[in-house]
Amino acid sequence: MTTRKSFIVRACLTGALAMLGASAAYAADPVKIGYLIPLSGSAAASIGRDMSRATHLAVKHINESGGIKSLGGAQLQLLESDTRGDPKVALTETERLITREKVPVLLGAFQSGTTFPATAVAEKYSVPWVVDLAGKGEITERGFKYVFRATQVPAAANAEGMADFVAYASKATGKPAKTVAMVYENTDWGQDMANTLRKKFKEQGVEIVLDEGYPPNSPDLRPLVLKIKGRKPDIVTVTSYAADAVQLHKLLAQMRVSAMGYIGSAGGQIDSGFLPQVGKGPAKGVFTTNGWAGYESAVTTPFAKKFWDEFTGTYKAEPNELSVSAYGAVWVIKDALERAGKAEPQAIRDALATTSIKGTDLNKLLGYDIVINEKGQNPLKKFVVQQITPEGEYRTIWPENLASKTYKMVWPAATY
Amino acid sequence: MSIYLQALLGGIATGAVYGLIALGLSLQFGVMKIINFAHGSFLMVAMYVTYYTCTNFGLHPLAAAPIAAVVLFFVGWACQRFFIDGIYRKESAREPIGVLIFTTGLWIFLDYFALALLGPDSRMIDSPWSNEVVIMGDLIFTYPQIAGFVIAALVTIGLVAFMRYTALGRAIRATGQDREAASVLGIDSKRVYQLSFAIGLGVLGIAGALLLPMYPVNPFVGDIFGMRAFVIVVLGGIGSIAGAFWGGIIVGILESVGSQVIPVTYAEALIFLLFLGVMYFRPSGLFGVEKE
Amino acid sequence: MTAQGTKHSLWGVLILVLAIVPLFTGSQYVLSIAVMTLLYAYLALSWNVLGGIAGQLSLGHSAYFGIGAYASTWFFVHMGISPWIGMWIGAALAIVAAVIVGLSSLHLRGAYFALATIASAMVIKTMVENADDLLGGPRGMEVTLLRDAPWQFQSTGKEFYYVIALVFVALALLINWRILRSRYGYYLAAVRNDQDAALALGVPTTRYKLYAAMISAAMTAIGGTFYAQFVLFVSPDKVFGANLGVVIAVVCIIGGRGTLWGPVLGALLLLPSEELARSFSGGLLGADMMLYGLLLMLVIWYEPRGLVAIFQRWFKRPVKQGVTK
Repeated sequence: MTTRKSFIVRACLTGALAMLGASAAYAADPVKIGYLIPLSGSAAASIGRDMSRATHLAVKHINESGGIKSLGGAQLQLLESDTRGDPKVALTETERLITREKVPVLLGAFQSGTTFPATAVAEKYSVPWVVDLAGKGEITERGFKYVFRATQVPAAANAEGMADFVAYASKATGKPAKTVAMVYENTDWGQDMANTLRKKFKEQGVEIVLDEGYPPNSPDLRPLVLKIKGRKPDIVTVTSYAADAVQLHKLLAQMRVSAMGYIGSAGGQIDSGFLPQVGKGPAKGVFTTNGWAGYESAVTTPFAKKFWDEFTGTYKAEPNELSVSAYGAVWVIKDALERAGKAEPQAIRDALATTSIKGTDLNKLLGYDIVINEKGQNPLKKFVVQQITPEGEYRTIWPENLASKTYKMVWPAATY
Repeated sequence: MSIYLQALLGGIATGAVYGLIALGLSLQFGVMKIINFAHGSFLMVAMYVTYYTCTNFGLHPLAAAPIAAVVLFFVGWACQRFFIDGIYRKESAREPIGVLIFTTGLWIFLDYFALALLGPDSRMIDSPWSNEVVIMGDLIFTYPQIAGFVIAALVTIGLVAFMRYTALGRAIRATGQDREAASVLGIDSKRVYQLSFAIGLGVLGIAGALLLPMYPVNPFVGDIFGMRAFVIVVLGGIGSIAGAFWGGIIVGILESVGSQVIPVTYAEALIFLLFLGVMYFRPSGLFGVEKE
Repeated sequence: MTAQGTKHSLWGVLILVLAIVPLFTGSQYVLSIAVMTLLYAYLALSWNVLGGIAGQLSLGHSAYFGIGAYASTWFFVHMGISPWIGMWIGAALAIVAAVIVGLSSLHLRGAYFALATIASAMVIKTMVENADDLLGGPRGMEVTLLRDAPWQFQSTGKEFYYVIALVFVALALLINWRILRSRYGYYLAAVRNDQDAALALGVPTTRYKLYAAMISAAMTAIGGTFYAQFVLFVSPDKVFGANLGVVIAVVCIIGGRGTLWGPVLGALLLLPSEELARSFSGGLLGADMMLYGLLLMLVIWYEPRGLVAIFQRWFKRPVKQGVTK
């Protein structure tokens, strides 16, 4: 070969290699997501782990289907951190993820108590944070520019659902509920819920005969249940997470507390451990709101089926609102990354702020559209109310347009 | 009205088990003057032992009680023999702060070790027996409540009899009152301490088995019960077995009936206020054998 | 300069250098850990006045910490008063609390006193938890985010907090040092070692113990304000928690209570260990706290008088040899 030709050949080869190398390097850079979730240290840990599984599953599915295409197929990499339910830990970990790991986006942290202060840190550093499930209203009411909540609405919506359902059931069955006993764990979430419930019940003219917060994970809830029994309420609202919800419902059944219905707040009552631990007898007829309508209405596409089958297959438990929300939140990040075209905080932030996901398979799975408003909040999520059947299944009974066609609500539900 | 009666009786039933929990602590405190901050954690261990015995061998929780008692007895003996004794003797008998700190470290270690080993989930046993109730008119009692009261009372009576009428029991009491004098009489204080600690934990084993049908167990369940135990010990009087029992009943009633009239969260504070009141006005407790 | 003088100067220089190092690592994360370590050293030094020098084992100091944290936060959020001023209000409130608690329990001895302090702290915690309207109840209060506002005790960068923490620790050391060297400290030592004898000699034991409690409480409360401004969030179970009260005491005891440097040593050992255990446990739940408990037990086993005593034992031998040679 002449010198010139060989030069050209070598130049072309080098060029080709450079391009391959560049694109390989380009595609090889994974996008880090800083993920905070409680995996230990508090009652929320079992939910945290459930959600974590769903989150990991979403990352896996996204990576398997080609990663972030606008970033050359970049894979998502989850940097998971256990908050232990402790704001102090959440704060240190958020700092670490931002300053040492240089994550361009954060996700988490399920609990309002940790998410609320930790998102302030993200705002301070101008790194976007996608809230998965924390329900505290103020999280998106602070005028922050970097905090987004796509798969959860403030707890008020949940409570409104409960109260509206009571009004509906009273009217539809002709057996009105006139009094209510409200019990709730006196944490962020419980009190948020209670505030809205209080307001709505007053508006509806339902008399509140008991309004009591209790410390979560109490060893003994018997006196509380006795108190409920003494007030003879028509309705009992139970805003608790798993362990307490289990105890409370068992005690309500044991102590033969009659009521037209016990209504849960999409907390412990939708936890996968609820039915097995409470037993079909005491669980029968329990109502609960749910941010997710369930298998019947939501798992209708191959996308959804893939999630459902893999989750139930690997973890031997069914997804519920919490795991579905966690799953969805990752896809929201994916959508933003695709539109951002850069794995950088500001670009991701701007993309998140203009999120509009409607009518896709993801929406069918979640049950609602995702449109982020100027506060960083998606206001479109709605709660349904379900009742547990004698066979131990959750059937949607409200609102009417989503109610199950095959199951008729039982009201009153608990008579002794 | 019947609600208050139910609350009263329920409080007595729960209180009896509280008393049982406090009993071991009272014994340790009275005989050795040590505060064992790991007491709650040992209760947690007792509950887990009961849980795994029941689920793996299909035993009824009450049948598991002796097993838990024996296991905890040996754990207690080993603890005293290998750890606590060493620290205790290294410092002044007047204020064994070292033991207090050591048991604090043990408390933290046990709780988090359980967390690492067994996970954070709360577990309850599956026994249908625990849901059975006895209905008398307006009053409802669960089998575990009744069993809890009866067995706690029996164990307490048994222990009081042991302390009063057996030579070993008297040796323990003697050592608690005056170690030097007791050793002059030929009582080996080391053996006495080991025995007291072991008995204290053995009783805790039974208490754990009685609690499990009523409450779920998780790595941190001991913290709350442990706190209650301290309040009861002071209320009933350090070193008094019967005092621990009655103290437990009082606390149980206060908690149960108190919750009916004031918010549940205040009932907790009420117990601590009671504690402070007793400390201020009658530090020797209701049945105290301590000269203050 | 004497040999002693040289030794002290060398130590002094070493400490100064070590103190400045974290400021140059350029790592907010390292600074974060350093700040928490210094905070606990400060809290341990505050506790030391009552629990170490005066020998009264208080396990309820979380009450004063919480009062400080809540007071400064409340006055800042609701009345716009800078936490620099609010912290003194917190200290004053803590003194009042200390007097109330002290008058009702300082006549108790040893373990009884310890239990009484725990109970008092729990009562205060419950009161705060139930003060929904005033104090936010169990949800706590958030400190308004100002990003960088040094006059309002806030800053994005951790360097600010680190320097302040250093100053706090230095001041706490100074207070401890002054007390140890004073006649008052001498009397406190008498109370600590044998209260009855001291009483017999005419030392007003209860009054002196009360003074110690007041000083200790005020200092601790200021630490609470620092925490609130660092973390920007206060809630009952974080600032009034029973665990905190125990941890503060334990850090001081591990280091060596009643000594000048013990509390600092205790914090230096325990805080970074906790963080290291957490980072290296690879997700093993609770591993860091397990280590903490283990360390506690080990130190108490080998030397109940704490790290200070252990260091003295190690360093004494070479010096002794030098002298005899």
